[in-house]
Amino acid sequence: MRFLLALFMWIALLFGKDNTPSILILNEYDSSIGDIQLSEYFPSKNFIDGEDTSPFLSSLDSMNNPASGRMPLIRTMGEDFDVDYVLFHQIINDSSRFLLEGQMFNTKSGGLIHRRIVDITNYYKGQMNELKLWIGDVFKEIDKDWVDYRKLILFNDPEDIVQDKTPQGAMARSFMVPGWGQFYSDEYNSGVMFSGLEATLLSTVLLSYLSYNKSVKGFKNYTKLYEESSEQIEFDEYRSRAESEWDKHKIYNSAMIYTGITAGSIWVVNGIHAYIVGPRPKKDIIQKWDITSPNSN
Amino acid sequence: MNRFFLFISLPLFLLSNCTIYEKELDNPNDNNANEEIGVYPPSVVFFPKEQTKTMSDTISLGAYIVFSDTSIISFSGTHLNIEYNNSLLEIDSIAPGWIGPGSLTDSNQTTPLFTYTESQGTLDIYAYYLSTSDISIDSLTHIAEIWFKPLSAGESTVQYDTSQCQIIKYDESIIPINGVRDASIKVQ
Repeated sequence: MRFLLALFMWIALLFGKDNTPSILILNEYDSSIGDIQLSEYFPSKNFIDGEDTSPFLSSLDSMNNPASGRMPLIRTMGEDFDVDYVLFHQIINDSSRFLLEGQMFNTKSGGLIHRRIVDITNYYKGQMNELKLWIGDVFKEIDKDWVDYRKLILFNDPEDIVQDKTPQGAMARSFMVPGWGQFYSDEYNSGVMFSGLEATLLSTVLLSYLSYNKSVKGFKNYTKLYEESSEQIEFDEYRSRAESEWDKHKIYNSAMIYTGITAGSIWVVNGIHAYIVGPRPKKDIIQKWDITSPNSN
Repeated sequence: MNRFFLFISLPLFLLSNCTIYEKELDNPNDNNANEEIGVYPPSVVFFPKEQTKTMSDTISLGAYIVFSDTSIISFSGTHLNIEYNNSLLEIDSIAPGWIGPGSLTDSNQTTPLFTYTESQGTLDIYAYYLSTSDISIDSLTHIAEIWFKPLSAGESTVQYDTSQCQIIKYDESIIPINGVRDASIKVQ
């Protein structure tokens, strides 16, 4: 009996179905990240390169149900390529940002079984490692070296991040020049609004001050002429002008004070706003060392 | 830090220069200004109200009667009694008020009958309007211009003795004087 059971298992192992999962890889990269040979890192997997990524380029999040939105497509691809999984990668690089989106589909059900979005600032020479980490995470085959390499490059704790841009820096800039902190934080609309508003108000303050000064000079001049004049026609005229200038200097004074208070209040609001919209480290993970070759991958 | 002080000092500079000035319009010949300090028309005043001169200067002082802007009083003559410190000032010359707007003239612009006496720091001026035709007097009347010569340095008040001053109408009835303003002369 034992002999028969062992014989059956040996035959099953010898002629049974191959358990190595096959994966169709679809990559949509905006720039090359080097020669990708995933089979070197995952020898137990059977990777098949696909070419047509166009069905995957539409946003998954725009679907009513992202997990099941591509079921018919995935099932069809599973039958056509005879694969167990479909793995779609989308990598976007720009001058300072690396964005990796990975989507893992099961061809039997057609559903999305795993998804990951990595969004890292100033990340170079780490994109390939990030891809390995993602696939390793999918198949639970993460190499410790990959994790260590990631730790070497990236800060794990946001508190340890040396920030290129900070909310405090944005606030300080906005307190110095209204709108500067907003521009610094890439908040261009509010930057234009605050700088424009302050420029208008401060111009009004300056204009009021100049008009006030002119009225004061006029008032003093006409007062002097009035006091020096003994002729009724003259001092009546100078009195009228002096009173007119006095009224004007009072109006310009009020305009200057109230506009100044408004400008000051908006200046403070602008500083607080710059702090609120200022860059936050929890959103952007930053590489430890200074960038020397941002174009390198 | 320098920038910080620049940003702070700019608004402080603007605010420190933003004072509301007192509207002090005081001309003794202006009835509006006189009424603001409780001197009501008709009033006898000097112009200018104060002046500072040196020993070598000649001091010119005008004697005026101020009526209200709407006055229709038929004023035709006056006697002004003026007191001054004769240890500091002496009278150099006296002239009747000049012809022109605000002057003591009739409609034909004739010079009034004008006499004066001077004694021991007191000057009496008599000016009479001689026309028998209708008279036209505006709110301000220049009675006389007095030139003083300084005798020594100091401050002297030139003032009217209203108990002896008179303004008379065409029918020689007296117009009461309601206000008076002195002049201050400082010799350095």
